[in-house]
Amino acid sequence: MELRSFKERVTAEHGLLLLFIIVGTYMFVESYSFPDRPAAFPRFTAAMTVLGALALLFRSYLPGPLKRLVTDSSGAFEDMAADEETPGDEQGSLAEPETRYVDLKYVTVHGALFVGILTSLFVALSYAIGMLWASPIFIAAYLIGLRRPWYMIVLLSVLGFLMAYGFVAVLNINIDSGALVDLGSYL
Amino acid sequence: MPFAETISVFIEAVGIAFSWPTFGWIIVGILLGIVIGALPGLGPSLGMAIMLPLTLPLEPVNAIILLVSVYSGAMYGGAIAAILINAPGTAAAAATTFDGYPMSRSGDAMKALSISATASSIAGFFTVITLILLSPVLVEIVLAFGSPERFLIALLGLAMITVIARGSMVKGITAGMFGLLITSVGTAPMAITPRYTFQDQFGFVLVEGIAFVAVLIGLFAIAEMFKLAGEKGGISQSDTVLSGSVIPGIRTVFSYPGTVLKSGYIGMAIGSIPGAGSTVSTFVAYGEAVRSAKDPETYGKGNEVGLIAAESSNNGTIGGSLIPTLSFGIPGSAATAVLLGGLVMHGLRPGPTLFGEELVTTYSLFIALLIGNVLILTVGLLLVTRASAITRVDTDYIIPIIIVLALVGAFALRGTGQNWLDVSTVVLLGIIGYYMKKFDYSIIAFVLGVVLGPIAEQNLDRSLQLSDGSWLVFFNPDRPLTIILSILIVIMVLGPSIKPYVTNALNRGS
Repeated sequence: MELRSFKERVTAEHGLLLLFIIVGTYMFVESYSFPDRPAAFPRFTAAMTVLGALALLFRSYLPGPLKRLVTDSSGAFEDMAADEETPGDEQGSLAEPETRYVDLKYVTVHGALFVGILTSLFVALSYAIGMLWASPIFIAAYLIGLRRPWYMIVLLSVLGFLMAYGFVAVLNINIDSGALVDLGSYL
Repeated sequence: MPFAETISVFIEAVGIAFSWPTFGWIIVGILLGIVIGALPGLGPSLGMAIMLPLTLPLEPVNAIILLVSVYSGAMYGGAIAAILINAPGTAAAAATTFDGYPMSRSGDAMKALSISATASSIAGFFTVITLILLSPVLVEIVLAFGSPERFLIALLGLAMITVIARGSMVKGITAGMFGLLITSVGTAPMAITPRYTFQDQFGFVLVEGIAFVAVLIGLFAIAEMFKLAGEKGGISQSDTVLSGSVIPGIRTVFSYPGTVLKSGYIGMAIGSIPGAGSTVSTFVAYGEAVRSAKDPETYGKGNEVGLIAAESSNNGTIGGSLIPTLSFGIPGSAATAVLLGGLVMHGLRPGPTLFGEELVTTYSLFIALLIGNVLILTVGLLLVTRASAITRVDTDYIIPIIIVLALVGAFALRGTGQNWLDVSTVVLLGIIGYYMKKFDYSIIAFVLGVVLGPIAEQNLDRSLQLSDGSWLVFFNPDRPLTIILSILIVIMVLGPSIKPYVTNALNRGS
C-alpha cells in the first residue's frame, strides 16, 4: 500500500530534480580539483543549482515564507491579465490540449515517448550507417507508425533525404557513411 | 561616438541592407518566417533555432539579418493561423484570435488578414524607427557599464525573467543556474584549465565545451516536437471560407492611427523587459484597447480595433526585445535568446562592441527590420488568398522533418571531433527541455544561462581581479550603478516573499 502511494507521488519532475542535484553535486565537488579562478564560477552555479533543486524536491516540508518562494506563483503580469475580462477565457482558445497516444497494434504509447524512442533510434542508426541514409528511414518509420498514406510517406522520406543531401552539398559534412557501413560510394 | 560619424555609419548600414545578397536574405527570412509562424505549433524561436546551423556559411551580418527577418516574419505569420483557424501559430498571437477569428467566421477573413498585415507592419516600422533614434542614448548607457555592472545585469536579467515568468521563482533560478553550470564544461575562459572534460574517457571531445547552439536546437526544436507529438489536434479543421476583400482592411487600420501607435509602443515597452515577451504585451495592449473603448462589449465578437491592438503590439515587441538583447546580452524573449545565440555563434558580442566597432552591423539589423516590415505588408497582402493552405498542413508531417533538420544541423555545427557530441546534446537537451516545459521550469531562464555563461564568467573573473578577490566590488560606493543593480536584484529575488507582509502592513495602516 505504502509502496503504491510512493509510486503515485513520484513523478518525472522528481527525476529532473535528481538530475540537477547529481550533476550539480558532482560539478561542485570536482571544482575543488581546479585552481581558484576557474573554480569560482562552476562552484557558485553548482551550489545554487543543488540548493534550488533540493528546495524544490522538499518543498512540502518547508516553513511558510520559504514555501511561498518555492511553490508556483503567478507572473508579474498575470494579476493584470486576470483583471481584464478577455474573450479568450470564454472561448478557451488557450486551453491545455488533450494527450495523444499512438496505437502501434500491440502496444499503445504516449505520442512524445513514441517520437522520443524513434529519435534515439534515428541517432543510433545514423551512427551506424550515416545520417543521410537514416533520415528517410526515420521519417518513413514515424509516418508508418501514425498510419499515414503511402504516397505521403514516400514523398516526405525523399524530401528528408534531399534535405540531408543539401547539408552534404552546401556544408560538406560527412553524413553519407557510418561507423559500421560505408554507403558513401553509392552517391 | 560623434554625431557625424554615427550618421556615416548609418548610411553605410543602409548600403549594406540594400546590397545583394543581404537584401535577398531579408526576403528569404521574411517568407520563411511567415510560413513558420503560420504553421500551428511552430514559432519564431523554433524557426530561428533550426536556421542557426544553416547560417554557418554566411557573413555574420547576413546571418543575423536572416535570423531577425525570420523572427519578424514569424511574428506576423502567427496571426494567419490565429485568424483563420483560431489556433495561434505563436503564443504571441493568442490575443489575435479574440477578434480575428470571429471576423473570419462572419465572412471577413481577408479583411482581418489585411488588418493584421497592415497593423503589424506599421507598428513594427514606427517602433524600429524609435529604436534607431534611441540608439545613441543606448550607446551612452552601454558604455557606462564595466565588468562588475555587466555581471550584475546578467544576474538581474535572470532574476527578472524568473519573477515575470509564470511559475515558481526558485524553478526559474534553478533552471538559469543549471544553464550557467553547463557552460563550465570545457576550457575555462580566463585560464587554460580543462573542466569536466573526462579526457581519460572521451579524449579531447569536450575540451571546447558544449555548443550552446546545440542546446538551443535541443530546447526549441526537439523539445517542442516531443511536446507537439504528445498533443491531440495535429491537423486543423478549418471551416473558414476566405471571403471579404483586402482594401477595406488597410483603410480600417489607417482610421485608427492612435490605437496602432499606442499598442505598438506598449509592445515595445513591455518587450524591452527581459522575459515579458510578446505574449504579455499583446494581452496588455488588447486590455488597454478594451479599457479605452466606448463599446467594450463588442470586443471578442469581431471588433476590428481589438485585432489592430493585438497585431500592432505583437510586432512592436520586436524592437523592444532587441534593446536588452543587443545592449546587455539579455534576451527579452525566447526568440531573441536564439538571436543572441546567433550573434555569439558569429563572433558578435552584445554590449559595447555592437554599439562601437560593430555599430554598422547593429544599424544594418535595424534597417533590415524596417525593410522587413514593408515586405510583411506587401507579402502579407499578396499571400492572404493563399494563407489558408499553410494553416492546413498536418503537424504530423512537420515533426519528423524538423527533427531531421535539427539533428543534421547539429551534426554540421562544429568540426569532426564534436559531431556526435553536438547530436547527443541536442537529443539530451530535447528530453530535458520537454520535461522542463511540462513542469513549468523557465526555458528562457535556462537558455539565458547557457548563452550568458561565458560572458558572465569572464565579467565575474575580471571584476574579482579588479578588486583583488573582494566581492564588495559588486556593492561599491565608487560605482553607484553596482549599488543600484545589487539592490534591484535583492528586490527582485525577495520581493514575492516580502510582498504579502508589506501589503498587510499597508492595509493595517490605512
